[in-house]
Amino acid sequence: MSELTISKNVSLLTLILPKETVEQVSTAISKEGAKGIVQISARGSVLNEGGFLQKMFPPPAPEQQLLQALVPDSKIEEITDRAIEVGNLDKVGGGAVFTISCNDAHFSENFPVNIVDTNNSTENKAAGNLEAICCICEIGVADDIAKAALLNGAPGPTVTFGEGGGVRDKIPILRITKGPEKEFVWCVVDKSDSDAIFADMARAGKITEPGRGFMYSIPVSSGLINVSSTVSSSAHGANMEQIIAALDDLKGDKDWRTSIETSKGKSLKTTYLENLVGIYCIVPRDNYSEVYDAVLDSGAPGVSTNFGVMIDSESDQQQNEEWALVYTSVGPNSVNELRTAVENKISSLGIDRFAFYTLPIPRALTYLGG
Amino acid sequence: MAPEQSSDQSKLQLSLQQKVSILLSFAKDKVIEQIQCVWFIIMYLIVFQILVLGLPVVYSLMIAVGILIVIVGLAFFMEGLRLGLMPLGETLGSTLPRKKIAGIPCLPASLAFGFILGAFATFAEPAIGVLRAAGSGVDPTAAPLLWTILNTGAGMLVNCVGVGVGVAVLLGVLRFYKGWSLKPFIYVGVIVLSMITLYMQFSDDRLRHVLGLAWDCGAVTTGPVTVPLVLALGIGVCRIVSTGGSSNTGFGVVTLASLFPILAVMLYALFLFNNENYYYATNSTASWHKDAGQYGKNYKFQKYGDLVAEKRLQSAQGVDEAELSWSMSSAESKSVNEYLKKNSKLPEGYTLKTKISEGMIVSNPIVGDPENIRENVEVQGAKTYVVREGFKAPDGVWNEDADIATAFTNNFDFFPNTFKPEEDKNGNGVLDDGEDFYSFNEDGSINYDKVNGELDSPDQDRGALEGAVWAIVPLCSILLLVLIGGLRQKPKYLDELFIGIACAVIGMCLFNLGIALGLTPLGEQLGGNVVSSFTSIQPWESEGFVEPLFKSSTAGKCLAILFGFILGYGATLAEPALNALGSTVEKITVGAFKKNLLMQAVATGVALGIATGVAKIAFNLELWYLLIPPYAFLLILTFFSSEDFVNFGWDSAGVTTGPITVPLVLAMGLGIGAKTGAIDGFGVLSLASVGPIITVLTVGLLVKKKKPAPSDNIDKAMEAA
Repeated sequence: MSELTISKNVSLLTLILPKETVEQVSTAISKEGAKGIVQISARGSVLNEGGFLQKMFPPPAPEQQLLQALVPDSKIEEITDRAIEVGNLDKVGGGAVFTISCNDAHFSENFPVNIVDTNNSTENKAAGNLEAICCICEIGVADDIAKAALLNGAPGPTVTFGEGGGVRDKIPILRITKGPEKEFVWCVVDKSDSDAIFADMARAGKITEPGRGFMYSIPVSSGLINVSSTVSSSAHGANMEQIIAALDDLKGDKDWRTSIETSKGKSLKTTYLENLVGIYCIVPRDNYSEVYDAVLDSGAPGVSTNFGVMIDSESDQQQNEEWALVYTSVGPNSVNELRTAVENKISSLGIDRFAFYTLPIPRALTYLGG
Repeated sequence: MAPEQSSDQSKLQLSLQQKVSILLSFAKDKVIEQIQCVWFIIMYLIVFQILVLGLPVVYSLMIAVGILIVIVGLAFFMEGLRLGLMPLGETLGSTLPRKKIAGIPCLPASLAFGFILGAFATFAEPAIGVLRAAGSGVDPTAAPLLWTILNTGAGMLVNCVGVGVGVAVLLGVLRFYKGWSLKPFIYVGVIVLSMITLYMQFSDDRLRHVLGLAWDCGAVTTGPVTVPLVLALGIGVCRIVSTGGSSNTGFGVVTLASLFPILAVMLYALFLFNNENYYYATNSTASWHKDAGQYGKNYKFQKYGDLVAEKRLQSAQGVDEAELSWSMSSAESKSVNEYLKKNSKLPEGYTLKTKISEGMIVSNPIVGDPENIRENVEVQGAKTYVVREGFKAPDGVWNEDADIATAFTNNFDFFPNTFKPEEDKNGNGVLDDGEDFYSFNEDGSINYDKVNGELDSPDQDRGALEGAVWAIVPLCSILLLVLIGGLRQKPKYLDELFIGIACAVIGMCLFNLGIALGLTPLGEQLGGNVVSSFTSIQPWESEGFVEPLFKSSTAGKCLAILFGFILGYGATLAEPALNALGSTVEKITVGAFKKNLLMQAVATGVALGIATGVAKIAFNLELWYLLIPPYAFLLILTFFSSEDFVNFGWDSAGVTTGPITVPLVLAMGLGIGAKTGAIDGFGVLSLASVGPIITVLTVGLLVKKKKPAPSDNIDKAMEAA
């Protein structure tokens, strides 16, 4: 088993872009030094007024792409700036970029990533004032959750499809009764708003009820969020983020967003899981099912997976290379144990291209039994 | 989900009771899902029959049971698609471009596989029975080429369609690899098809009648098993091969699979036509023409009446001048004779009359089933004369009122019922049980092998189970074989796959059964009865007589058109293939396009198309008037639409005419056609597949307009602030 490269100064760069600008931005940032960019299809959110016509002909949501790449901290600024410049991310509806600093990242030898810096100095990373919320829910529920987020002022919740399981995979053949398909709602919000939005999303998705899903938040070190989301109504000339931007401008800051809502009781009658660690494992899609099983076998309570295409600008691509992002979250003490177990399994299968990274998860929410 | 919770036990043990309760709640959800799809059309049909037409529902118990079976069957089938067929197609599609099969490089292997899949799907799920049903009333003398294709040429027709679909899938896969847009295919396809259509429309009547069949073939061939499989395959392939800017997402194959069969059928028709190999053409190779020996071979495109006239004039020497002079002068008869020889038909303005007074009627029993002895009646000794039209014979010589005389003078056909056909109470011809198709044997005797006007059918009525097994099992076996044997890729959940395939077979079987028990009788009686809005009829399968609902027949026909509209809408929403397409679109766009948007747009389109189709039959309009302008309009729409919508829109055309819509629509089309004298029930289905393309593309354009361009709005936002 070959040694894994371990780096602690790595950030996860995430971009949410409208379909049109994906190619330019991904080329630009890969020229800037980002490698192994995983592209995941996503959709923006539409806030429907309801009404008969909209129910019959639901307006399509904007198609988006989610780009994720592991980037060394030394380069993150340049790459982010470049992405903002090329993708016009500072404009309304241009998209979003945010970075999350990882606890650590482990790469196998052949994993396409541009990280040479292996010194293990842990400098204190400045915490940003943003927080990313991710909610994994049953298919079809995402719209309600996204709506709840939008109504609370979260700009542009973005939805991706993926698979997930846990309990499902432990039921023998009856698992056919529950599909593995899940929806993932991502949104990045101000720390000040995040409690309310988190609670409201959880309520809309009934996350605390059994079998409904899992949600968590991750601190974001820096970000710029201008995701397009549409309020589909002929009555409004402007879309939601235009209105929010305009109000921000009028009020001079973003505090108004929370202050309006303080009157309502937002607390959920449940306890959050605190201080978990999220382990992500990136593997080629062909090997994904083995890794998926390995993670479950190693004692993770639940697994979810996003599928994406790895963009590699250097080789002249004839075909897409599909990768899977396998995610699970565990308590801080069992991280290493789990990772080693999975690592061993992976190596024994002869997979030589994979990477792990871990992110801090200050809070998570799911059905806890009882 | 605390870490402590994780246990070493890898499988959960469930008690039987828990298992049952999981399964039950699952089954309940699925059935409710299907009820939501189906309730509208069923309620509508029943309400229409009872409240609007004021007629009772015949066989109501059987229909109710049938509908229940349809719902359960649909639930099973959709589950089968979700668990079995679609994952299978997608896994295969995503593996094909990356691995070699037996050393053959990916691209040729994929193309070959595409061709085989397409062709095989057609043979497995031949919708030809549907077309035969639509053509069941075709009169061989009025539309000989069409009749031949449906009859002796049916096997070849299936082959043509199979090759057409095969080429279509092949091109579709090639398109994915090369990242080509669908638009040029559509432009070329539609223009070529329109040209051929116009040529066939105006060059010859015989070719004209085939148009409806050809266009309907395109609509019908893509069935509820083929579509999801091909879609899934395309999506799998595109996941791997569509890189960068190409916006291919796996759609478009169904479009091609709808266009190419049309072309194939048209070419087949042209081929037969040019080789004069069709019913009573010179070179007909159909067995009964061959059996007829000299008689059959020399057969020209000629009606029986013309034949008799020719014979009669040939032997005119034996007839004395006085007899002839009843009708024409000798100079005139000479010119008629020459014309007849040259053109094999009587010149305009001349007709045949039979002098009945000196003849006698002889009945010859036909050997056959002793229970049901039929007789052929011939008139012996009667002489037939060529006369000028409008010629009035002296009383006593011509018995013009006699049925037999009418029959003889009616230009009757090669397959004549010697007598005027029996009529129902409304004065419409009824094909009675004993009605015979006959041909001549070598020795000149008559061959009555073909009874009841049945069409030769290779596969007309497969039983429900047999049909389901045939449609699904061979296709899935091939896919599995290629996947596991050829590509050496094991699907993740093989057990799920098999359960899925089993569900699909069970579902399809129940579904077929339910349709035969429930939907078809309901559709048939309604289709027959809806005619009562403009003409008086005897209600379907019941005694009595119903006066037309409206005094004006136009108002009644308009009601029938409205009926067709809502019928089309409701039936489309229940189509399984459309449901599959909708879910696929939703999945591919990560939910950006909701299934409902597509389904509603398509259903509205089908409704418009079927309403137009009913109008075509009710008012006896020419098909090309209704087909060419919409397609021309579609070319413009396609040009302006985004690639996504072009793909969805054109694909939805292929999926609309499935097992629910077709029996309902066909029954109605035939019912109305029988009252208005249309030759066949074709055309409605092809119109039903133009409609949704138009609506989906229009919706696409409307939606696109609404979307704000991202960067332009910043200024407005600033201003607003």
